[in-house]
Amino acid sequence: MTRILSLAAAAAMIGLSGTASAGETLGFAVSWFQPAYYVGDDDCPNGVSKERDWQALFAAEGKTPEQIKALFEHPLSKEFQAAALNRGPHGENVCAYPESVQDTNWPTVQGKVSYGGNLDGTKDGAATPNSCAHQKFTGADGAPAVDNQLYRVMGCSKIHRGSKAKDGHDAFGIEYLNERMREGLTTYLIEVTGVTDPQNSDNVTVGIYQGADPLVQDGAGGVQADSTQHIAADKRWQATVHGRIKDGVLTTDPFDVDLRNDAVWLPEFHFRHAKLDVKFQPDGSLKGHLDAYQDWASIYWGMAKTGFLLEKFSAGNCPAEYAAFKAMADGDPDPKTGQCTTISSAYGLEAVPAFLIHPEGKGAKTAEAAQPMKAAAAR
Amino acid sequence: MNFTRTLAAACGALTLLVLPSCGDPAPQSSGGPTTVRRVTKDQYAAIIGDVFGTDIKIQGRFDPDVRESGLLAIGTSHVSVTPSSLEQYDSIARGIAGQVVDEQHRAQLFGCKPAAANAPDDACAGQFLGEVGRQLYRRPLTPAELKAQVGVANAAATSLGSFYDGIATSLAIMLESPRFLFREEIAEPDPDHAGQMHLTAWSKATRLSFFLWNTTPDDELLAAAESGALNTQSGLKQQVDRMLASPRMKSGVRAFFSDMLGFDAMATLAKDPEVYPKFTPVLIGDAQEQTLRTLTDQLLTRNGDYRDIFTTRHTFLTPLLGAIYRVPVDARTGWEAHDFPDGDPHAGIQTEVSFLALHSHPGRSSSTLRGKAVREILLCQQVPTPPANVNFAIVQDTKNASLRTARDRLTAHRTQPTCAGCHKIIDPIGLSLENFDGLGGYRTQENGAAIDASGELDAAKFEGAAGLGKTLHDDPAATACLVNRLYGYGAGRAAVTGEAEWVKYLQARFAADGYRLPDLMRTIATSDAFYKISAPGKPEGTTQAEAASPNGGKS
Repeated sequence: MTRILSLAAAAAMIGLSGTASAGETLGFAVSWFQPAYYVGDDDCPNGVSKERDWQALFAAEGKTPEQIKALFEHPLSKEFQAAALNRGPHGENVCAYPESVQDTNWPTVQGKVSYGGNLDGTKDGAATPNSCAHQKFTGADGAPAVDNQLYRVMGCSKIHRGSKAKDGHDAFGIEYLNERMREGLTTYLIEVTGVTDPQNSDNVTVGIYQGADPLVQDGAGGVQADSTQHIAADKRWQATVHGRIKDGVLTTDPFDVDLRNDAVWLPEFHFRHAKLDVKFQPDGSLKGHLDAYQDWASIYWGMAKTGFLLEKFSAGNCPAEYAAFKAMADGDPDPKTGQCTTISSAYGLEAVPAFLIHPEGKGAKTAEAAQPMKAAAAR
Repeated sequence: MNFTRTLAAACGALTLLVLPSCGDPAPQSSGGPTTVRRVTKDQYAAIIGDVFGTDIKIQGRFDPDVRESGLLAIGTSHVSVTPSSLEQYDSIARGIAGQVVDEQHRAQLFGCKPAAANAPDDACAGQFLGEVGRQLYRRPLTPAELKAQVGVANAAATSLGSFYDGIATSLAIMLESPRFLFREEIAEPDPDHAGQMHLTAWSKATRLSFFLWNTTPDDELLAAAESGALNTQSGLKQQVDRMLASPRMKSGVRAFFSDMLGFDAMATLAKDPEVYPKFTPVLIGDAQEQTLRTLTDQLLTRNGDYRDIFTTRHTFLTPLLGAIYRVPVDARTGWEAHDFPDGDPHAGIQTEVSFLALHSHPGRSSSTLRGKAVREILLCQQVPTPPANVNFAIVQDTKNASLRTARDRLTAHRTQPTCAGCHKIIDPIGLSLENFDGLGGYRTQENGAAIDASGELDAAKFEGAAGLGKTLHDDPAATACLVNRLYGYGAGRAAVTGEAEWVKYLQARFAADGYRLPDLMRTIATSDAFYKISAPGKPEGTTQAEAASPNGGKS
């Protein structure tokens, strides 16, 4: 394997981007990545979502008690599923045709606090050429003007709302993708080039990449630090962006990136105008969040394609959730209709040091795993 | 591999050695007693693989072996078969026999076909059992043995209505026989030396094959035993040269070092996952394999100097190991060669994860265990066991704010007079490895305090793991230890007093040959002394080299 030392790697990056200064190149493998949903006492005054009252719904559709009784004798049958979902005025499947019925009975977050960052740049959430009017949150850390409309839509969903004690991390709906990632389904990598000082470097280049290797789990159930990870060759799953480190916090300029994800739930992340905001930890890892707009339709369709599973077992409501997404979407308004096509979101992110190998073959660049600063010394 | 070195050239290196010159004739050896060694689990698997194919599954549990004089190979001379292990041997044997005769294997393994598949066929049974028995028993079956085995096959085939089931029954009995499970050595008068005894040609072939290949003799070696060629110097040399040139040498050398380095303990090695999250069973398997690859590369592939195993920066890594050493490993699966750069703290097998993790506690490093391992494993020196009432409170308190490093804690521990004697001869060695945590990860600090990795080994003072490696490289005890261990491994017992001069001669030859392991193995394997058996009743004792303690027994 041909390795170019970190200094040379940084120099090469200068040639490519013209932004980074000489310094070290640090590699990381993302070890934790899931929607950052705050759990407070007053978030959901109307309660969390519930499974549909099928009996009442069937009755409202005009089914006789005998018909309803027959359906409930086989609640997982095709007949039951059809009766449950094909409730459009012309028998449309409401998950496939969510606008066929009007249903706004979806509980949304009413609280004032959220994780995330200020993505639209406004203080009050007023409409701009690039955003739709929306309510702002106060950050969980006290930061003003936080945007996280995805949380507003999904934060009162039964399967997305975890316990306060665990800061929501134990909610199936949001931990699902994270767990699949940690089990090796998909890998995300971060490379920081031009680090002259891990506490303060004014001019770094940050690469966000799809990884080609599964994550390696360590003996304690975490993601192993200092592993070697290959960057996927397909440029569609890569982005590089200028950033800076101030007081140990790495932030970036906005960037767009697509990342592969779980084929069952959400095949791809489409992050737009994303910003990374992570802090270097004493053990050399990163911890913080990725704030980004996502096209809400892909999120909806990712959930809705599970259809009956969503409504029966996940306390979902296809048309109501669709309506909520559409109403709460706050980014990238369609030039013709004004309807916003993306929704602000925040993802909790942690990353452990890793060696990264670029896919170009000979002359490939290797990012050094960040040297733990305190934890290793204490062992 | 080029194992051919001229003695004349090698002897030029001896000018400064105060040892018998390799130009001198080999000194007389008393020989030692014959041994009866239980076949180890690995040897069992190797034999079955050689005789029936490596796709034959071996399912069952083997009794653990016992370590004596630093080697399991010696301990196998002093173990038996318990009733419970006999049940296991029975189960394993039946499983193997069933696979050998199944439709998938019978065409490949049988050189004959029965006249009828549902009836006995003594001729075909005799042919198969005779051929297989020769390999399993490492000698031809006697006519009475073969007749009995064919008789069993006949009776079982008649009873079960299947020729192959009859063969399986007879084969299972053979696989449970002490003649297979134990390597019983037989001595006979040496016709070339009146009044002396040596191993029979069959026993000689067995000792030779397990010494070099760690498995049963192949057809050619058995043929040499049968023809008597193995009892001639030229015939023996021809076989040894053939075996040394075989790829199977790698298996033999791996088996020897697995034994010498105590890798059997890897199977039960445990680490606290909260302290060492990178520890997994797969990792520790890789660590063991790393060291074996390092050794076979240095000693066989490169035919290099044995002493360089303590200083080499060339090794082999998997992705999991790369995470411990904090180096990238491009290979997504499997192994890739790696050279640590000059100045890197990793140099020599004593800086590899296998050594560092094995000789540490589950949640912390241990200068004491590491120092003891260097003394006992790499230098063949005995360290007395600690007294029963030792108070370990100080050394175990890794969070003690005033004793932040292992050196601090051990220094305090050594103030206890009952502990000082032993710790002063082992701790200064292990402290030079304190830059490596209990799993082998590199560190410069412990609890925020800088680690002082200076060390001492007898009169030598040095700095860090590299300094220890250089010291071991230059320590005659390290090469003498290898010779002692290798001879004991081959003979199945520690060298006896009457072999002391012979062992010293081996050490001199080892030096003269540039500390090349294959040359040392050739010297041993082609010698009369290796096969010489002491007269019954002759008093014996272990050699001084084996019993030496590091400070003249004053610990």
